[in-house]
Amino acid sequence: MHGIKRAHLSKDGRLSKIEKDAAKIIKYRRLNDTVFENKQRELYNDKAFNETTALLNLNPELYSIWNYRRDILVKNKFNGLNEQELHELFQSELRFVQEQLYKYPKCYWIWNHRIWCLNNDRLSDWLFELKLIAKFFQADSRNYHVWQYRRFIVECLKKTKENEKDKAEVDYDEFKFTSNMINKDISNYSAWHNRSKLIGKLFLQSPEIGVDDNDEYLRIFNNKSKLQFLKKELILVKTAFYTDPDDSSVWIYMKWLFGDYFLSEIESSDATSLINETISDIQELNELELSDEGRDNQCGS
Amino acid sequence: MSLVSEKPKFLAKELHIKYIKSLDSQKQFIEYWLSEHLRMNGLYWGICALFTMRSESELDREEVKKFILECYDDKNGGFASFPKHDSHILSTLSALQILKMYDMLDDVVKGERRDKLVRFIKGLQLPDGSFQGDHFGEVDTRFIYTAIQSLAILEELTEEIVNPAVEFTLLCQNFDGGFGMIPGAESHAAQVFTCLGTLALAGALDKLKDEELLVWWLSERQVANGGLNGRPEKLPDVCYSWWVLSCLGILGKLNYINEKKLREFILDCQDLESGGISDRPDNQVDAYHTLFGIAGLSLLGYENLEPIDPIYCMPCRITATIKKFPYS
Repeated sequence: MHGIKRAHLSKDGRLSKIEKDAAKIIKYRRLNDTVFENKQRELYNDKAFNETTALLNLNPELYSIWNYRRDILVKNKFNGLNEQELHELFQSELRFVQEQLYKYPKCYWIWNHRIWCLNNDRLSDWLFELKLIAKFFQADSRNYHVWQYRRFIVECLKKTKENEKDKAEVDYDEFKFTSNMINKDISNYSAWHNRSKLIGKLFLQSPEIGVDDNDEYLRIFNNKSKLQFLKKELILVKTAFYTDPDDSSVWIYMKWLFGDYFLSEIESSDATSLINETISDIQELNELELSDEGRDNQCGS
Repeated sequence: MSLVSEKPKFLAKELHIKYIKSLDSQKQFIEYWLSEHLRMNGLYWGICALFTMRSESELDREEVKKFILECYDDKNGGFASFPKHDSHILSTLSALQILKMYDMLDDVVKGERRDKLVRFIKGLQLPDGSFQGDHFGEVDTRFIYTAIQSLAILEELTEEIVNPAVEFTLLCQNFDGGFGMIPGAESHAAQVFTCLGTLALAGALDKLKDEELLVWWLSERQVANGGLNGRPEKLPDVCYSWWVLSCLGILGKLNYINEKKLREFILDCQDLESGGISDRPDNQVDAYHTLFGIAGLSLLGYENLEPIDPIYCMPCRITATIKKFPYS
């Protein structure tokens, strides 16, 4: 149990909960027993399917019932359907899953079922999924499952692109997405993480991604210049640590910027001057902090 | 002022034992019925906490054995979380850990059942070295660890299984030194534990890169109130007293955090009225946080607790009896 306030029931409170729960328990156990019995009897009909819906609505953590539901889909409901009809069936499954996810956005089994549906539907709509993800990020922009799901959807979207250039453009769009997320909230460490992954990919891409003279990052990735990248990126990092010096995300990210991945490809004189500039920025920040709040930022307090 | 409640300084062992024993007598409450899918894990959490408090005789060993046997799935050879539920690698490891701790492994897992069980676990490995949790294909470094530990307890690890699992695990390391659930996923302390645990069980810790960076990231999980979080800029939570601390323990770097402050944070999460430990002070307790709080205290060397093995999350005296891979 995470984040639920401790409450000790009084004697009366306990009795009243027991009384209230009694009806719920009867209803839940009756349905639970029916569905597990259907499962044991290997029933794959529509009634059994609808009963899994009802039970999963009461308890989405029942992984065995998600398994059983998939068995019913494969062994019965898919039979005789053409691609379009299958797509419609998956659409209704996705709607059910979506409702569940709004209620339980951190339940592994529900995300797992959604991914299974999308993997099996040949007409999956990846752009719709990206829009859905945006909604989930509005509720919690650090949700571990949602970020993982986004990476999955992006990989699926890339598979629909025929040439390398188009695939690289998807990665670049994702890079821009991390910029947006960081600009909204510099302490979104999940976005900084994803950025580090995308940078690695974009420096490996061989084709030019597309030309837009106003887009400096795009030019830098096309030129494969790690020095230019560092210079540009340090502006973002500086803005971030000035916005909230106590936030750890940006400091961890900066440690990476000054690690082997970048510095091994940069002339040491360039590296030294970038490091010195950054140190003096940090000193300036510390002095500001000291005069504003009477403390500096060196001890992590 | 007398109204300010004193922070607890001691582990309320008797209360926690009472709390764990009470968990199976909550049948009047709906929550009991809604948690069947976690019952085997819950049993492991409770029993391992009892072992760590040297109070394992408080539960009836034969009752435990009966339940585990009811969860055995004769069709595919794994253990489920509850009778009639599907077997899964997570519940299979919990069952094996319980059997190992109570010294019932050879009694329950033998002959044809043993062969089927080993086949079930090995059959979950995919060509890229990862493991799926069951045949529906969800992949996660949690499942690699649980599969590898299951085989370690059975002393059935082989080069063919271990080497690709290690290779896959190494792909999950990130720019910050931490590990995620699959390659590309954000570092998360619980996944760092499963990845380091896998490497340790495989005898492959020498393949770990950026150890210093990883240890730094782990030590940065400690927040001002002494508790540990699982990712940067998240709230502290008692379960990370295990996920983070066990990693530091595996790497021999327990002193990289402030041990005294963490100990105080864990003790502060105790429910001194009904027993049990919660994620944060004054929250609702559960078996999961009770184990990981107590296990964390054990790693911190708390008095009169059984020393716990950071690789297996079982008492050291139990894991000392497991043959270590590579087998000589």
